[in-house]
Amino acid sequence: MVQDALNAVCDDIEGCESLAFVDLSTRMVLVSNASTRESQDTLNTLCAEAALLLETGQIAMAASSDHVHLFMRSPTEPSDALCCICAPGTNFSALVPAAQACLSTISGDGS
Amino acid sequence: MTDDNQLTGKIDALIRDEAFEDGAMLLGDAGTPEVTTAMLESIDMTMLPRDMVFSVGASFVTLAVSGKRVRHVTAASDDLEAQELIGQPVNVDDADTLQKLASVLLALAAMNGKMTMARQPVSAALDVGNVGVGLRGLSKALGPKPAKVTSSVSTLMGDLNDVLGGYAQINDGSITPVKGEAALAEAFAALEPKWSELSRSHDRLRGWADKDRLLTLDGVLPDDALAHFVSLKGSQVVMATAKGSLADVATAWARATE
Repeated sequence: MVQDALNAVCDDIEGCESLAFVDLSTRMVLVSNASTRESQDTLNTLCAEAALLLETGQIAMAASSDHVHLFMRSPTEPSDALCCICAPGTNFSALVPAAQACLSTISGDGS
Repeated sequence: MTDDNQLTGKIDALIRDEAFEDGAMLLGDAGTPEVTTAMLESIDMTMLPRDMVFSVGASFVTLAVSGKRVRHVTAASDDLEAQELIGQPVNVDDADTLQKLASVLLALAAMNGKMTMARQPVSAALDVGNVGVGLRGLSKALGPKPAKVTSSVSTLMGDLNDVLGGYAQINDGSITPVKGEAALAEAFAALEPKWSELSRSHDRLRGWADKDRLLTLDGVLPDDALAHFVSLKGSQVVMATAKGSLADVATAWARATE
């Protein structure tokens, strides 16, 4: 069910290459979208990056000219977070609310 | 503002080493239109009075620049035939001097090798009254190339104008507030205790080889603003934007780095 929600966001929004649901307290990647091409090591690094950048708030971003990494923490379950690897040309106006809705659904605070 | 030098050092850490060569910023390969654009962009990003040294190998020209304008030529290597220009004020009304300056810049840009740029404190006080030529005048004098003279930072800031609470450019150890000075003072005060460890940790963790880089943080600024640390085309910027602007910033970043 969780992977279905992650897959749906990646399928709907071009450029959203990888989406992972992580536990910030244990720094573990719990589930990622089925079509991700990232290795487990890369996802683990992404999770560590999320834990670092989300220490202060609910949302963070780290971008180079090649990729944009988005991080979102659940407002109701502080250990739950989404990590996203996007291409630069991604429709971020669509992705940000879609990812937030996805996280709300997964964390059970969406209804 | 809080300790400007300390914060500047931390922001400077965002710059990737390969963008620099012996302390000078690498602008690109001379002989390409892009390097002329890079020269213009670096002039357009220089607010404080600086001697800007553009070099290709042993050839160089030093321009006195402030407020995004070239005020005069300070020095040049003999092969550029710029001696008669040294110390002469430059402005758009003096077409002859301006054209000679353009010829010197184009001659340097046409050489073989890597072009570098270094900013230094000015060697003498600048006379800025009615003196100086900016991006538009220089671009016109240089001819149809380069067509694009808008800097990447200008593009980024222009795209974010509606959500931008304030930003400052950081050059040569100096922070120059460009918009929203009060908001920036508040931002620096809030960020200072948290930035050092976080930036070091992220450097260790991610270590992107790419020199262009953006870090966005939530929860460190008052009023729910987002804080952004930008290193783009050799220019460093700290900016604050409205809370809901993440998608806008990501989109603008993609455009500025494409």
